[in-house]
Amino acid sequence: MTDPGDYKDHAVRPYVLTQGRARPSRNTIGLDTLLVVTEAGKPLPVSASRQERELVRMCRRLLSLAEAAAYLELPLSVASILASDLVDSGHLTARSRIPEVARPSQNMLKEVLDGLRRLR
Amino acid sequence: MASPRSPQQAQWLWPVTLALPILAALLAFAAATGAAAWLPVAAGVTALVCAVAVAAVRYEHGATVQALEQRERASKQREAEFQHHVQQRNLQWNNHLAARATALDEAVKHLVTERIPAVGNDTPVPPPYQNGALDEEVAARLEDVLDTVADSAKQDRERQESLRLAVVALARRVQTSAHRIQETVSLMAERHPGNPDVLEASMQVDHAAAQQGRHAQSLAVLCGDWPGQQWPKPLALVDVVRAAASRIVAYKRVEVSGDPDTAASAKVVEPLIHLVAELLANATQSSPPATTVLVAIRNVQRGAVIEIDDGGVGMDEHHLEQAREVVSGRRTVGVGEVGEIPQTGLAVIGHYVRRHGFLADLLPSPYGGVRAVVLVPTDVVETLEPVSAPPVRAARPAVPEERAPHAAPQDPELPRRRSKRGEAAPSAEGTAGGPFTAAEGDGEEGAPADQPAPERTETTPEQAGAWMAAFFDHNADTEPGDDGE
Repeated sequence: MTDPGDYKDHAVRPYVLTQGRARPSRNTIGLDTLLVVTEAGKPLPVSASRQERELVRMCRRLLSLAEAAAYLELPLSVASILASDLVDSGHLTARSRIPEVARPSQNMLKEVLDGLRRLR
Repeated sequence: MASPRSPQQAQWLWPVTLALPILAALLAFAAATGAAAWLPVAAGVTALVCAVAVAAVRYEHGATVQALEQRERASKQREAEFQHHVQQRNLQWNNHLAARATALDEAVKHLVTERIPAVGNDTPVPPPYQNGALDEEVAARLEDVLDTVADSAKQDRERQESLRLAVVALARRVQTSAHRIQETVSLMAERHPGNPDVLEASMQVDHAAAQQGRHAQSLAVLCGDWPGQQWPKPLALVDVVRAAASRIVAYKRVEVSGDPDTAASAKVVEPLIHLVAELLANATQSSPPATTVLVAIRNVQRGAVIEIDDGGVGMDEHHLEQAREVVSGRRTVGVGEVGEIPQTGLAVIGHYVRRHGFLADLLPSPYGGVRAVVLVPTDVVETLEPVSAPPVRAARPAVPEERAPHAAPQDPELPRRRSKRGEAAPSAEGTAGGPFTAAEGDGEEGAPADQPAPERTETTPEQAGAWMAAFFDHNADTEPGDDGE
């Protein structure tokens, strides 16, 4: 709120969103895990929170957990708990990090990054 | 008749009248002895004179008696007059006393029922009771009484006000420190994203501080103050209920359902959260720990309704009626009147209801416990952009081909990114710089240092998602290895 830090106050506290859980139901979801909806239009339970609904909507296209957390303004660990739940319930699919073989080299990424920066 | 004679005037008559028969008898005795021929004449004359004198005495006596009677009559008359006068005076005196007593009675009544309450309520004091029968001195005494009462009332008010201010100031400080605790532990948890133990501890502390903040705010509200906290944006009613739940002990027992897009306007968000928190606290406290408290959000003609049902045993009619009086704001309960703890919450609700035009009521719940109903009036109800709407996607900025083109979304309700957040920043950078910067980011704010912070344009998650999907789609096209699931 008024503090110099980047803290932003939220009316809905994290522990309510996770029902007090501090551990995700699966530990395979990291900040670079990509999330995507399993099947568009699969209804969420009526008791689903807005954050869960929003997460599902955001992930109609691939989105990394880190980005989703940023858009939801949630701590990463809390977002990962929500995402794990949604993966469990079959609403989201987690694509784990790209396997080494498919991963472009560090140098190539740097070049892409530089190229993109130059574009702007 | 005869003029009253003084006794002195008739004094000589008695000795003469007594002396004359003696003289006549002496003369008659002398005549009987035959001493002289004139003696019988003299005796006769004397007897005659004697008779005249007796007659005179008799007359004198009659006159005196008459005078006496006359005097007696006059005296009686005077006495009667006097009695009458006394009676008159008594009557007058009694009337006077009665009038005075009535006037005093009226003046005291006026003082007690009109003027002293006015002094007590700090409203204009009506003029004193006017009546000629009232003693000036008594009137002055009554004014003294009023002055004394006014003085003590003023002192009392000042004392109460200073007490109120002190309590409010302390409550605010407690609340601020509770917020500070929440802030600190939230930041701590964010600094250790991979550590569930830290997150768990942070949640527990956060939860305790949230309750502390609520109690402090209740105290301030009961003292006539209002929440210092304000929320910048409208909040969905389901989130209002979740926010309220986060401030009570048994938040896990609260289950909310209903339209996720109905929201409360920003200005009533905090009052509504606090109000619902108090209702949830009552509901969870008065029902068994294993039961859930069901909350439903409904849209109605006059706004939106929050319904809270507990599965307890309910309240008896008398207590329910009392609670309804307080909750509906019909009876004000200040900090001085709340007795026990359960009353505090109800009193807080009543304060908010009166101030913000909510309607709150309690009734027996079909689940057996109590159903609390809060109507949020139309003028403070808003509808948010639906979160579960059909997909709205951004045109993909970096990729020419578009599989399912849609209009670019205008979504004002989506959360804005934080600019400097530890973990979020690098990943947000990813939108602009490429998806892998997220993986590279080490959580510290390194990114802004070695690259010029560009003017950020707001990106929606859809845009980012589209971008990333395109990236991987493209990857998949070129590299047969595919992204392994």
